[in-house]
Amino acid sequence: MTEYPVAKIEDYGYKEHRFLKAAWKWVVNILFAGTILLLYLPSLVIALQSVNDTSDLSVFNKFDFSAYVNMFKDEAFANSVKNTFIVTLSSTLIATVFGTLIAVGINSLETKKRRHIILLNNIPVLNADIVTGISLMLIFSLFLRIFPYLFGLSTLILAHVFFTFPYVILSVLPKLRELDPNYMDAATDLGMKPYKALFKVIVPSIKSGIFSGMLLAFTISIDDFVVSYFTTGNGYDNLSIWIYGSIGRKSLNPAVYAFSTALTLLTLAILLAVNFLRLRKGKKNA
Amino acid sequence: MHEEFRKLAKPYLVWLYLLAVLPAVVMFGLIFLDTEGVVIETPGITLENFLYLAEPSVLKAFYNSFKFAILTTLLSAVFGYIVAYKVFRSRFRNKFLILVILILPMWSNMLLRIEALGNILERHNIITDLLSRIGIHIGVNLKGTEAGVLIGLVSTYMPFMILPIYTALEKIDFSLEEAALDLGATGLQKFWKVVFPLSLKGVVTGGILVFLPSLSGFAIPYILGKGNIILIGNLIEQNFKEMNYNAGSLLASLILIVIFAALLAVNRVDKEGETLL
Amino acid sequence: MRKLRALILFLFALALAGCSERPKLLLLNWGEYINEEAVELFEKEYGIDVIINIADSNEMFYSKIVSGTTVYDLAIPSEYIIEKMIQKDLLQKFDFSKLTNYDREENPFLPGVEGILSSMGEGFADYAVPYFWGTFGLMYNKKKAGLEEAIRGYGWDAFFNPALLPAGTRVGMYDVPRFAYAAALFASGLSPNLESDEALRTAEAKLKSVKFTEWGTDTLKKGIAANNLDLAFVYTGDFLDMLYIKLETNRLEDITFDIYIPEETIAFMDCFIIPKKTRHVDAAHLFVDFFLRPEIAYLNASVVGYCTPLRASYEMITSYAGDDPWLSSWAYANRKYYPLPEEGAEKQFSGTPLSNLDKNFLRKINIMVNNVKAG
Repeated sequence: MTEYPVAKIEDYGYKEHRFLKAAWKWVVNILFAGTILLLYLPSLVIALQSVNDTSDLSVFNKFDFSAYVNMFKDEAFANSVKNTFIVTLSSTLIATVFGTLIAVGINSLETKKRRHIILLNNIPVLNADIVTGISLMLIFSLFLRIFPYLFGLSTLILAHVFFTFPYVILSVLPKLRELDPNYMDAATDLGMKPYKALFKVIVPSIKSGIFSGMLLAFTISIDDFVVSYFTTGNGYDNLSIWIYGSIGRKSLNPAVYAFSTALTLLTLAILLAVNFLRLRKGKKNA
Repeated sequence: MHEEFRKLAKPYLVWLYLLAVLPAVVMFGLIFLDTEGVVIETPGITLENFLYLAEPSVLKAFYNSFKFAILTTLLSAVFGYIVAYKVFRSRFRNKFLILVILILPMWSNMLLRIEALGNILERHNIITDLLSRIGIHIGVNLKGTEAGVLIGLVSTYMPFMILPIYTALEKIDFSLEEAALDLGATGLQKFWKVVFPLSLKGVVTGGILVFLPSLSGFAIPYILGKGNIILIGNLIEQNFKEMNYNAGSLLASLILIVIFAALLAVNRVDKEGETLL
Repeated sequence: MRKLRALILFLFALALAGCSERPKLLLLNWGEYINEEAVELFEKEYGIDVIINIADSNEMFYSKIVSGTTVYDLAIPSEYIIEKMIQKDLLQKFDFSKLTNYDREENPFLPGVEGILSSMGEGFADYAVPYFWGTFGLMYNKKKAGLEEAIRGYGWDAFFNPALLPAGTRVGMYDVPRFAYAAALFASGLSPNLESDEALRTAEAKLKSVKFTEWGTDTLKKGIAANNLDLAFVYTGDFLDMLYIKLETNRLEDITFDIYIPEETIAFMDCFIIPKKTRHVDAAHLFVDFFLRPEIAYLNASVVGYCTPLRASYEMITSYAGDDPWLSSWAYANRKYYPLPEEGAEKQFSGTPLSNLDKNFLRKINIMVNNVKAG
């Protein structure tokens, strides 16, 4: 029998590059690890600082958990934390509820008007924090003649609602578009008034969009500094402003490090718990 | 949806015009006046404020801002893509959870994180102190340098890149990848020619979300730059702090123009508000 | 729908809970410029909640009070900006009948304070009650070999001339353009209150001759103490501030930093002022009166490194002759860095106070400093 040559895969132009592949994998893995480190390094330092017993940031004295125990003793700090939560929870609620309604409204508009409002809606998202903050401050200042003590909780909530609305709308709108238009027609055909249909049919179907919008609004609002800085007043400080005023100074209570670490750990715990519960539920149903 | 609901959107239009458009107009007007704050000092229109743009510090601030913003975006894109891709390809059941865990640091206050970062970028800090006790003596002095500011910017804004890229990767139909492999593509070719282009939308979205804040931020360059590095955001803040609303508005308006350009670009690609999230 | 209403009501209640019933006092102050203990004593005695906001430059004090976004009851800016505020009619006069401890005969101020008050002109003292005062100086890191000799030997000349300083000296400048301008003019042998383009150019050239490692406010003194910085132009009080902290754990001989106060330097005085639209005028007066008590001023000065304005507190500090190391170091430091003027001396205080400059010229100074930073 004739011996036919066996084709090797290299003949087809396929090179194995075994060494390159391995090297590439190493590079990517190192970069990946480095990136994760970069993301977590500050949090690590904060955690370290929270168990340090001195407020001198360049040395580590000894382990001291008193910052955790006395977390809310400093009135100014405790107040700023409370204020942050009040503002964020209120503005998130308002933005979610009304944002959803507005998104429904936008979805119902004619094309031209809809695109116009979506274009404007992007402004708070893309605009620089500092420009938004100053703009709002300028507008609110116009009312100082009538209400000289205007700035404070109300202006803060207004500002937060202003820059969280777009995020809720942008989360809900796509889900509305994906909805089967027949739902609405079916509901009204069956005799439901439009608003009732809205709450009983539409809202439940876009629940995931509303939820992610709410989460997004919460995240953006709780960490805000620049806009809050320009739109608060009359002693109403939120956490970011308190930190800005205390960074590098004696008044920076180690409690803030403890608070930050505790919050992060708590969130992590909740996430893991929810995940495990879901897994268990899944196994049960399987 | 239903015509009834149209009136739900109308108030929002008014709201946006009042709080987003009107201030921009006011700021634009302030450029041509001479005021202390919002109180007019010298009546009449003036173009003097434009002279401010010729100052070397302003020009350098523009140059630096764009330089940092572009570098940050590029670095975030590279690192963010690697992270997003690795998580996407991993075998974990709940990948979204992993992502959220990666984004967790973002939930601690940004100023605190930057201060902590600034801390370890100095030669004598808490970590070097601990390490020196076990005998390791290292110390970098990156605080106050451009590299330090860059590190701060990337570590702060990279998470904004990870999520959009991951979402875009998720949306790719796996059968496309299978088809590519079946047709004889190597792993690398499959990535470059199929996966990457389809995920580009996420990269663009992430890019905008990283570019704009790095361009206009002021806290990070100030703390990590030890007051030496001045970007446009710093100048704007300084001017408004010193009651020079005229020069401040001028700079802010220029930033608005950049943002407007980004807005139009986004709108061209996506008219129904779907890209940004 | 019902759940929604319940949630909204809940938030409303929460918001209302955010308002406490106790009367408040809004104070705008510099960072680390008041003893929290003293504030707590005040709060306990009068049942008034004190909320303190921070501003880190006089210009910021001015813009915060002018913009009116927060109506402060009390603020503590420096004398030259108070002058501007009086000109712009932003302040109200003190009702001295309410200040029981304000008595320049029975509870006198130090001669330096009286000196600065009289240099500010007529009517100034009606609007301002002195809080702390002092000078600026060149704080230096003793760990840097050769630095102490250079500074003590050459003073300002060394600060702006890298050739006279040991190699690799890290120099810091206070991040307030007005002060940087003043520093440059002092080093050139000129008055810090010049308002000419020529002076501006001289200052710019002087500032450009140094590559500053850091521009900061409270960070400078910390940098020097932590050995991350070698030399900086700071408030004398900044140095003492740091000193008091380090003295809690170190002996005076082991302190690694010191300060040199040149002849030509800034003298300043920070005072309480009451803005016009204040809501809590009585509370403001009570607070000021509280800090005019010598024992309270004494307590305050133990934490804030600046010089107390009251003669009684000053004597309480400097007359300590006991064994406690911290208290004796404190007495020593005050005697050394805030010395009393000599009998019959012409000028009752060292240094030159700044004066209020024209708005447009100030803008030019700001731009000039930014240009220097840009390199």
